[in-house]
Amino acid sequence: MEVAKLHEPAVSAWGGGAFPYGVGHKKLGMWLFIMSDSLTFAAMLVGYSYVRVATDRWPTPFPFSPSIIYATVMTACLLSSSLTMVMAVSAAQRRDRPRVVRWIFATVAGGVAFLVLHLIEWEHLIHDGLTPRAVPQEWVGEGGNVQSLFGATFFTITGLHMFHVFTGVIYLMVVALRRRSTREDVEISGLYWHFVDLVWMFVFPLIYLLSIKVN
Amino acid sequence: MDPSKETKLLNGLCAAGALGAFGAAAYTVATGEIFSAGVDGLFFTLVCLLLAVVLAIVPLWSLYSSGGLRFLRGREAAAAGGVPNGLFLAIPGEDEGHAHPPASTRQTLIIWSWLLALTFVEVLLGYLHIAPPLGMLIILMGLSIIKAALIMGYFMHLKFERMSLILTVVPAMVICISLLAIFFPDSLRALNLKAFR
Repeated sequence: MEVAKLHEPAVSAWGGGAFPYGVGHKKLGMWLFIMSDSLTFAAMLVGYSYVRVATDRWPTPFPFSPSIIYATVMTACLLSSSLTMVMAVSAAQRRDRPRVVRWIFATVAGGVAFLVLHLIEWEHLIHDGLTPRAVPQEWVGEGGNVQSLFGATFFTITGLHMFHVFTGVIYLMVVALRRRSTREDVEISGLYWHFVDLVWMFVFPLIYLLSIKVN
Repeated sequence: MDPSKETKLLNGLCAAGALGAFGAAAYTVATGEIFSAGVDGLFFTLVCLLLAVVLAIVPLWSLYSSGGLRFLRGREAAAAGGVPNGLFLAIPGEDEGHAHPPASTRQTLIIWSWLLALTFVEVLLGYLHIAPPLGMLIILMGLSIIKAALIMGYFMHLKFERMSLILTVVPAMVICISLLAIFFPDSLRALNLKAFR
């Protein structure tokens, strides 16, 4: 702790040797990463919104079954995995290591369920004929133009999010299984996981709910 | 340069910049240019005001931590002679400053239930179409922002962190993401050009 200098009336929190943010440097680093990554996703989503606003007939192809059901279950999976992550952090604060590992495994299970369901969703759409450059002919009618930015925006945004979920799963497994993981490591990985969930809270309505099939 | 001279120079430059930015904003209002070119004038004024606020924080901060601006402190601290306290004084702790009780399971479950409920409301609204498309978008985004706030505040524990962390993380994200909205008038132009059909 710094001794107060003569020309300062009290010890400054910003003079070094203190914790002006109340959290350690690792956690602050994770918060800063979250800020930058949310800007990345915001930019992708705004880019998608831009091309969608600028397009006359954007496809709205998602039927209730299976797409919206899958997407809703996926949302519930991620929300539940966030819940189990909070439980893991509580267990870490109580220094209950076995419980921490179990709760983190539950979180990972939620994440893996999300990934599996999402990949099945992708498979449905690819099977129907969606590619990054074109949509299936049925979506735009007989004489319609299949060239659309739907595929590119859909696969890029959901793919980037899936990549974050996948990375999060690996990160969480490492934290759970490493012997020298600390309570702080659990909290920081929890922050990352909640961030991934948070991004999905925006991707889900913008990509899925605004493209529900109207008959 | 010794620290206090450096501080004075920094404060002076930031105060000058803040006054300049505020002056630019005031100029656009005084000449009526704030209403020129659609939203462009308004955007310029708001950006100048934002810049003025952000720059003004530096000298104001200096004043606050050297004992001035008594009215911003709590009553006891002010009575004690203006010692800087409250928001930002470091509390070195054994766990790096983490000195508050963990969230109760009950609170966590309640937040989780609200998140699920809001999700179902969103899915329902996807089918109900109670408003024109723009209105639906605003409603869905509003609900998503509420969900984001719940996750950030309670699950990510931001609500219980130091104000310094909250103020570092939240305003910057909100402002940068909001600034991205500047592109939407252009997307409407593109639509009217039939450029993406």
